[in-house]
Amino acid sequence: MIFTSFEFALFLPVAFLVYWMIPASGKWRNVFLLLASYFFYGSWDWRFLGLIVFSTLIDYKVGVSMLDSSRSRQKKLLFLSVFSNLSILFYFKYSNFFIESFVDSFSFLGMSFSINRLSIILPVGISFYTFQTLSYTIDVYRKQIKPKKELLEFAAFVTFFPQLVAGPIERATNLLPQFSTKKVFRYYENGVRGIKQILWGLFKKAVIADNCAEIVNEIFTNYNDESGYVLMFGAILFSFQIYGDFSGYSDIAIGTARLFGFDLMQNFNFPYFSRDIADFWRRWHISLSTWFRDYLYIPLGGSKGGMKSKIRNTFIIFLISGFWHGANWTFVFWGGLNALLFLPLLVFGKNRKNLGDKVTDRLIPSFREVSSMVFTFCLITICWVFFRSESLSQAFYILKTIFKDLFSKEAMVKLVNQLHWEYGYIIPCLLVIFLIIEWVGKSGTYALETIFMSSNKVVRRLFYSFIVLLISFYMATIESPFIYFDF
Amino acid sequence: MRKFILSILKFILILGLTYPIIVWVWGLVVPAKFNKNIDTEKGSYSFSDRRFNELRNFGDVDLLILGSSHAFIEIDPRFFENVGIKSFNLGSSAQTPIQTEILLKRYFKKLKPNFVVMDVFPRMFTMDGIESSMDLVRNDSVGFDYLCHAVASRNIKFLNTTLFHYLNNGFDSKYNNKYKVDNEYVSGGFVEEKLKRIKSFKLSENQWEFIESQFEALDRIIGFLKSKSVTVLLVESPYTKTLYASYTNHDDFIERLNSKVEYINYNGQLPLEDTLHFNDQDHLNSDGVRIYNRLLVSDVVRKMKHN
Repeated sequence: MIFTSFEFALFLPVAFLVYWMIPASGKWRNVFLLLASYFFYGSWDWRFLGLIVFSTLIDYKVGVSMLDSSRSRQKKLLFLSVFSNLSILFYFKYSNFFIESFVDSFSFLGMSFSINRLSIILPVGISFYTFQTLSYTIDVYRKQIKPKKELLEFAAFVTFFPQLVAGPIERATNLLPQFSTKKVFRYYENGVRGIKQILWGLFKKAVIADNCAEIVNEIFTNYNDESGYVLMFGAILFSFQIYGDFSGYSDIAIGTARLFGFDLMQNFNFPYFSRDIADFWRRWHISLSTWFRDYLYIPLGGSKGGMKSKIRNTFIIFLISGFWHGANWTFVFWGGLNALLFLPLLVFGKNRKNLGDKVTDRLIPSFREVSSMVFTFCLITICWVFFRSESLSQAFYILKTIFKDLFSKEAMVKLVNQLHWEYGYIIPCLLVIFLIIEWVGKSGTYALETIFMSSNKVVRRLFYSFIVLLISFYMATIESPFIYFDF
Repeated sequence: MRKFILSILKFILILGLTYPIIVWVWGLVVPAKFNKNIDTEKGSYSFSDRRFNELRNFGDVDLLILGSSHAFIEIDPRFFENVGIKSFNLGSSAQTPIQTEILLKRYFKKLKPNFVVMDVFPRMFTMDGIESSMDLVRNDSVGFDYLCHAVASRNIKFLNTTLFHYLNNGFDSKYNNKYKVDNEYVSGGFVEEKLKRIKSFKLSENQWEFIESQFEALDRIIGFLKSKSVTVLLVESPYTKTLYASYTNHDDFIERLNSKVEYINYNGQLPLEDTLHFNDQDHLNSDGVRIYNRLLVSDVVRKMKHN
């Protein structure tokens, strides 16, 4: 049951009405949320429920057992939690990758043998909820949060359906206490803001991401026959596809949670308006970046120590982040490439240069700001080519062709022809509208949050109607699955 | 909470009521190439516009032909006319049983056939039929039946297109020039293609993945025709041997059809060669149509006499 499906459009209002009809006192709202979340998750494949129940029970028990334990026992319990969660993740996500890499490395040495791939289905969202439950046990171990004694609240936290399958990867310190508070529905805070964020998420996913996906899939499938400019066009569209897809999903998740009275963390902060790679990584998939920062980068020593350890830690984080995204060398390379692009900023101490967000206040940016944003977007797009490609050789071929054809008039004409006869101008026009709305609304946590807020109600409602109409008139009719469900 | 629900309902109600008008105006104002989910233009590779125009002034028939392009490209009413059978070919592009059912209910009273030949190409049982539905609403006069079908389809492009043509009934729609092809429309619903031949080709093994709702629609069609005492003959018109052999679960299809009503599979029954008698992988060329129609006509005549 994905967020853009007809089934979810039925599920959400029913769940919303039932939830708020249940009296706030007592535990029944959490019982309902837990059941709704299991139903939501089980709609993919009921067998996945066993895994999530197992993860829930292990981490609950570990948390409670840590309460009155000695430090050394707490350490052992933490190890148990980390080991069991990561074992599940590795088995389901990385077994075949290691088998294939093992066979490939031996065949590279001239020895060939075959081992059959394991027949494993990747449970939806496993990387997300594994990291979320891990953060709980680590925080309990660090005494940043008290262990949850109520199994119901803990289970509802692990399985909370809006963010279960693709994040934001919530911290127990933020989300878990919200299951213990009495909730009162607030018209604007919960209702209007929630619906607005869902609406903008739908636009990003159904109009931007899915429309781009149709062309991107075609270009990346036939990459051998395409000119450099067409490949460049495909790479740029993929940048918008992945942003629309993932941030759209996050917006729907955050908006949905808001309807139920929960506040989730911001996951994207207009990343394509970043002015350098470091700035980009502070704005892209914030819940994962901060997870790695808090649970890996800082324990490794973080920015303390000499330049060598800073560089080592940065590379470790980016490579693991790449590997987290998928069991393929393309993702590892993508992580490494981002680390390489980050390196000059780190070495010259400029990685925090754009920390204060100076562009947000102005409607018209300076030439310097525009050029740094465009330059950063180009670097990020180059990295995305590795993310999207099936293999490293495909990614290198695409980039080589793009750079080779950079000054080829013929290649440019081919793109113009394909735009005119095949792809059409609808997507470029939609991207322009999308960027304008995002730019104007960039002072909020999502674009629609602040736009027309100073105008009267009629203007605001006309604008929201316009967005609804754009979705209806331009959404892709071929639905693409959310990219991050594969992770 | 109450205020929020009322606001949402008010918003949905106002937008819902004005939506058809907005679709119509948007369709008229925005140029076709900037309209993604509203197809405002008429025309079709299957000449549906010509077929429906002719149908308006067509009287009763003895035989009604239904189905996809296999019907309107491969079953020629002129062959039936030669033996004194008046027929009309109501085939249309990628017509699946779901669209066949709508067309049949729409035009049965007008044509009053006592014999129906329905082409059953397995691919039509694997598709949702949206492509065909779009072809119909763009070229036929849109009524309440199409609107219900559009709502039930849950396809926004089909819904918008249906709303547009429903409101645009009586106004002229632009004809899309991309549908100007070399083929020729022949009175009675047939489309005669220019003689072409194909080179030999290979296909890898495949399986048909059938959609249950298409078989359910077929059941309803048969039930409807039986209730009107009309004889139904399901035919699987010939397509290339290579394509036929590439699908390994064809027997399942035969089994499912045999249990319903009389069904004839013409594949393998005629002296047809892939490189001589076909326009493409699945359509006969005019030489192939001649060979096929001679046998089909004799079979139909025999069954009509038998009834």
